[in-house]
Amino acid sequence: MDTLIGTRSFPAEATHLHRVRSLIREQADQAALSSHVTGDLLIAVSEACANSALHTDCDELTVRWSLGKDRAEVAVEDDGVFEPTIPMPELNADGRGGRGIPLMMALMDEVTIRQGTDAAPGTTVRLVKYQG
Amino acid sequence: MLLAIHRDDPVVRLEGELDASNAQYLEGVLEPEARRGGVVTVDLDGLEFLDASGVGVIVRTARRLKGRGRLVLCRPAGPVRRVLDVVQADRQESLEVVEHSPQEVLRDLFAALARCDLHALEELVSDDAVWHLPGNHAFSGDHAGKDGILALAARMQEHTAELLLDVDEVVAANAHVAVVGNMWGDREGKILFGAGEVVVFRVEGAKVVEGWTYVFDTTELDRFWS
Repeated sequence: MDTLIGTRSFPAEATHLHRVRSLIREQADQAALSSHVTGDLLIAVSEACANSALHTDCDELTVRWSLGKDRAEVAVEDDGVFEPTIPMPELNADGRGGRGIPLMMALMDEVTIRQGTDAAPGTTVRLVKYQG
Repeated sequence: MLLAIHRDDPVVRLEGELDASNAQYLEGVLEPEARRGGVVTVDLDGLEFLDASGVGVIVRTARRLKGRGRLVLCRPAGPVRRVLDVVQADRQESLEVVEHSPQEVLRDLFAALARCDLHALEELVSDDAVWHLPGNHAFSGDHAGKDGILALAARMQEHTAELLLDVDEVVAANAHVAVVGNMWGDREGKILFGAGEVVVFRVEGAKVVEGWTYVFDTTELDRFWS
């Protein structure tokens, strides 16, 4: 079975998140992924892109996908610096933030974050989902 | 437009996709509702996507309502249902996720209110509400304020063995909700056999500000309540 591979860049802005989701829907459809895998991937990828859009000052983010029947992987990259703080929702009285990464972890089989630092900028969030 | 917010008081209906680009816009709509209190009902039937920012708005709205009402989310489906399940939204205080339509939620809520259920009164009636009762009996006239209405309901239930409202229909329009039904009662040996009545509520947001009870046979009600 072929694996569908591709790369596309988007402005790192919240108003472009729906375009990333349209791309994922379209590619997942072409790769004939199940609706369960597609749905979970959609949420996790949107969340990873929202992190770039909201928490970095990057202009652009890049989405790379490799969608196969048994294994779907999407990576979201930007050239930003990862926030060097630990988001703890229970410490934020107003409940702002801190749910994106746990959400990705709950939905995906693998989540790896290569965090950009001041010394080595560039953050990559790699999301993997297996066909159960 | 990515997200459309329809206001059909007392229901807020969402259509489209809720994400970091428009979560603040929704929060701006829900915040005054939450400050006023009551049962804030949001229909998610037309919502196709929800992310962590949207969850943030839901959680903060529920927190604002704590002790003064609750947030009821109706009919989540697909990825929206998935996200609400994963974040265990139904375990949040003053937040409820239900499978039925807002019309059904309203029906149950307003039917309980029309039969003067104390919990429903406590939750829905605004502090400065007025309730008008017809006829020439001990409870006829205008009852002002939430405390006044709660006291009225308590007094009506005193010496009353049984008081039931058999609801035929609940009709919700923009600012008014009407409950049509028949009242059955047993009070100090007097029996009420399905007396027809209509209770009309005027709502502002998720709160009831005025209520009118109309009975088809006022002399029958006068006999029962005197």
